[in-house]
Amino acid sequence: MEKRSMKSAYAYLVPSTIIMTLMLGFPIVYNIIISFTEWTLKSSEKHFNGIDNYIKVLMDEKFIKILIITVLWTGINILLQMLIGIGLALFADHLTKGKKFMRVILLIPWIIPGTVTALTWKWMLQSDVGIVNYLLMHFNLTGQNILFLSDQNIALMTLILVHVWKAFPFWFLMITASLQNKPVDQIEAAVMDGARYPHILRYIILPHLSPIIASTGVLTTIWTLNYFDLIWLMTKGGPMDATSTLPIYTYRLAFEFNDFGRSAALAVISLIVVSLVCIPYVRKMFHNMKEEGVL
Amino acid sequence: MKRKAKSFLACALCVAMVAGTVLTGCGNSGGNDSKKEDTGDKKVITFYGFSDWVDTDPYKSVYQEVKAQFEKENPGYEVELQSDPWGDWEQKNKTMFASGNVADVFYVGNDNFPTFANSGNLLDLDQYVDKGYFDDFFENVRKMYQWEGKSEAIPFTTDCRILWYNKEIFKEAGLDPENPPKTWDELRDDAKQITEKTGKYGFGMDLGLKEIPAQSLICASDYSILDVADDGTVTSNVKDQAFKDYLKLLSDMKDTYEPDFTNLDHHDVAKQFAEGQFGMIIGNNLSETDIYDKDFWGQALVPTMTADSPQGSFGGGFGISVNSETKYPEQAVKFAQMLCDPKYNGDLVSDIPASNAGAANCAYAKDDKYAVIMDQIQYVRQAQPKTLYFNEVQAAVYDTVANVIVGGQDIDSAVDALDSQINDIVKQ
Repeated sequence: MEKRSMKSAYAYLVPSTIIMTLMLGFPIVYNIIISFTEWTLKSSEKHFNGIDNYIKVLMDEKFIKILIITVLWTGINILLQMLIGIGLALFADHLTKGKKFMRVILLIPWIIPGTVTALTWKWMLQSDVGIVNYLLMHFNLTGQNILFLSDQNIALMTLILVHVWKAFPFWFLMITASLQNKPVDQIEAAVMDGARYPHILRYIILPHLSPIIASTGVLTTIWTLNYFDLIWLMTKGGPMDATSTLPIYTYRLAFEFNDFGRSAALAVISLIVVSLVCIPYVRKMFHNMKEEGVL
Repeated sequence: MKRKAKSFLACALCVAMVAGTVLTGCGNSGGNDSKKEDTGDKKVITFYGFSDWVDTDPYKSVYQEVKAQFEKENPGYEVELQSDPWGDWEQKNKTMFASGNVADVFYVGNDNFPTFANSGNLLDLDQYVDKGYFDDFFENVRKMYQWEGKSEAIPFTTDCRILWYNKEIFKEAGLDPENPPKTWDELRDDAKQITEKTGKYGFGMDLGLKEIPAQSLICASDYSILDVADDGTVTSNVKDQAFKDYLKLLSDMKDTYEPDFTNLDHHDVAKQFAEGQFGMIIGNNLSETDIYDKDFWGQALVPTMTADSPQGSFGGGFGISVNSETKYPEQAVKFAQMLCDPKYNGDLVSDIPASNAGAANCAYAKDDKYAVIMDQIQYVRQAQPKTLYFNEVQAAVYDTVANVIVGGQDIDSAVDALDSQINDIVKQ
């Protein structure tokens, strides 16, 4: 009986597996093939060139700089999104009044389209007419206008903060959803035993949240590392490549330098980077799934 | 064993999810299916452009008129006008070329012309047009669309940059509003005086536009970043004093730029000039602004390198090319010629037609407010000749200017690095 139901379950998976194979498998395989091909718009012919594209990408003096920027962009972004998202979700969970209102308000940045977010923040962060500098000057927090997007030393951090503002609500949403199912009986027992909130948080709530933190971590890491429109619209990767991440450079290689082979090789390298970054999350996710008997 | 299979399946799904997200931006995204099958007795010629002209009034009705006229003069043929918004057009056009799915007739941007021409996708038009057909087109623009001695696009539009200046800011700075700068030195002095005396931005720099910054200034000289010999040998000229002077000029004027100049593109600069924030900018017709009815502005030719240097200005624009694989080359070329006919050309575009007759017949020629633009248009050129390395050299020059102005690199070492970079690009 169990075997039959398992067969049925696998049978139900077949259509979606075929669709996923076609929708994801073909572009992946095709991209990998292109990455071993000399393919530019300058010539109608495509030649197999082995690992030349990979060598060119790795030897490109900009590559290391862009890789470091990508790691910083992703790492700081995820850390801040996670801390703010979890913190606010725990705070909202404690509220007795205004909980729903806070949830709605905090989700607004996530709902706003990326293009609108980018252009609005670009305007607000302008050095001379932007409202952010105006407010900072008004409250004497700075003596001169800050070049948020034009100073190569702070442009990346500025973009990270804007993206955190846009993306933390997803963490907030996921953690809030998980908190609806928190082990109330364990928490009550701990309170009766005299446990303080930090201990309850550490030994009961966070272990309860860890599966959702791992899966949200995987998703947001992938999304953040591949985020394109906010950076492109706000700085185009400048000034002096200070905000140029792997997706920005991949796009430039393909559509500015017309080199599809090199662009594809960089995309494959990006895939490897994402995979490496995601390994701890994925291991944690599998660990939790095994513990819950899903796997 | 079952557990291992499940783990493997889960892993595979994870990898697919990651890979799908990372890689879907690459490879062949298809684009429009621009090769349409003939319908019934009609032979279909496809045209691909951007909808800002093809499908937007007042130009749309003229495209429809040209299409109707062509179909009337060529019974049995039907033109299908296809377009995408400007923001998507260039990317889709390149994707179409990459996938070999090119329309019969299409706009080709002058910056990408060498790439497309070298790919063999553009028809040699000299075989299909009358001798002397190209004589009336602006010579410098015509050269932009020649590849290995063949004409592979008909010059369709061009534009030029002129010096726009704010007469009220000039007065406030103690400058003569009827005497705008004519040379690089005067430009530098006036920009500095404006910033010192008024606190306003003397010169509008658009480093956010990832092209050679203030390229018109280089064009207003007899200097070229590259030389191409008859045998195709490419030589870098960036170690010349002229290029160092250009870098020094931009560097000297840095204090007069708007602080966010690294992120401003030409549209931003134009809008801010129209709002009275800049003393001077080098821009085109500023049609994206509401400057036309204002009276504070003046126009002048682009300041030249020295008083003895030739006039010049950066001119871009588009050509009309024909797919070398088209089934109907003769008719496709006829349609391309009709689009570039002075009778229609000026009404099909917001730029200026690239021929003497077309330019004389366009709206700008009939409006005194654009008299300086019509004077400057005859001097348009680009800071480097069309080569296969056009975009790479442009990016390298851009980076060098950014390194000097933003990063504070000294000019001599920046120029040495650029020279070796260009030599590497050419070698590859």
